[in-house]
Amino acid sequence: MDSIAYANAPTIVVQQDIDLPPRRGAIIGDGMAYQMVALGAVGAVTDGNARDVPGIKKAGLALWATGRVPGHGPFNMIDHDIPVEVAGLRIVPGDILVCDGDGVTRVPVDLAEDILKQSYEVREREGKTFAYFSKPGFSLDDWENYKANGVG
Amino acid sequence: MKTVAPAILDGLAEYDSATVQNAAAIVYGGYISEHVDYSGPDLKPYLWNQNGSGKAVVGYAMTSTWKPIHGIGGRSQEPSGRWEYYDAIAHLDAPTIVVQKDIDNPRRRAAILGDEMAHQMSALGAVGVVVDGNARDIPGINRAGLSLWATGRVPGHAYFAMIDHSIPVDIAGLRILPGDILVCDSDGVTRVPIEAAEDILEQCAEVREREAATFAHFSKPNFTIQDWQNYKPSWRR
Repeated sequence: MDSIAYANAPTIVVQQDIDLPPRRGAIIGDGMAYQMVALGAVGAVTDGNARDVPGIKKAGLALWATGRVPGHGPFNMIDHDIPVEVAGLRIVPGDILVCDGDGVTRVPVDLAEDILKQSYEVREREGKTFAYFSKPGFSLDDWENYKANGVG
Repeated sequence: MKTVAPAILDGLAEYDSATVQNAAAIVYGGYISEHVDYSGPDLKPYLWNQNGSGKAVVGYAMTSTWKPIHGIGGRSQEPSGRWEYYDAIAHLDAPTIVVQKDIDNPRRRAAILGDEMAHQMSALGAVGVVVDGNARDIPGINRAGLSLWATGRVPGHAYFAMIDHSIPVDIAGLRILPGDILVCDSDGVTRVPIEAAEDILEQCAEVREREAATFAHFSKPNFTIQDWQNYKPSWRR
């Protein structure tokens, strides 16, 4: 908890349910959401279920989870600051996570600057492609031109 | 069928399924198996806020099993005794939640609830349907005014029959008995046994009070980790 509180940067709490069976009880709810927000977290990414989702929203925490259920049983944190597998993605403590409506992309810290730079270029290329295919009267000639020359 | 005072159902509807599950654990003297406590993540809330209040849907479980591909003997037919089931829903002077389970082979492949059945159940006084299996015609079910939880949705079914009713059924990992009180919201379904309902409702108020104190503590401006370390809620002192 201290490492979240003292990060002095936005943190995303990443939790994995390792109980047996996994993903049957909830591992985050509104109580924990208020606590994490108070410590500076901006989101939670959960391999497991959330509950009190309206309450988590009120707490102001963004949430990604593999499911939701109303309850849990005896409840404990088992370990922390270790690599975890979240919905098929291995996340290492300190990774930068980019989370939106599609899910989570992992950005290793040592590549972050280069990836940011490339993101700009990818967007510029995509913009040209979208514009090319959205132009009024798009024809098969345009398609053949694209196959030969790209968007130019 | 045994029922409780309407005020208890109304009271439970003021809380959410998670708060009720917390309160139940206090009443039970500890956590019980999830299989008799709350639904698993397969169950999705498709239509859960029909009246716009955001409140939980609460009612008595009316259980049945269905085969939506092979029916009975490869034909669509109604089983004998089906009117007992529908009569029980119609004549119960309290909100009911129709609980249906697909027991065909394969399971969860075809739909066991659609808009026609939704209009029928709504007419008989049902307020919601909880389905281990698929629904279809969701916009029509919405128009029928019925709340809906299901494990999935598909467009069709084949030979279609109710197989049994008023028996225990397993719904997304939760065993539901006929007459159980169900508290259903966007998180899923928490089961409330009739005999514990009044005590659980009483505990809900306390759970919510504690939670509100916790939320207020952690929401205070300039919160620090020391505030957490110094946090000693009255119920833990």
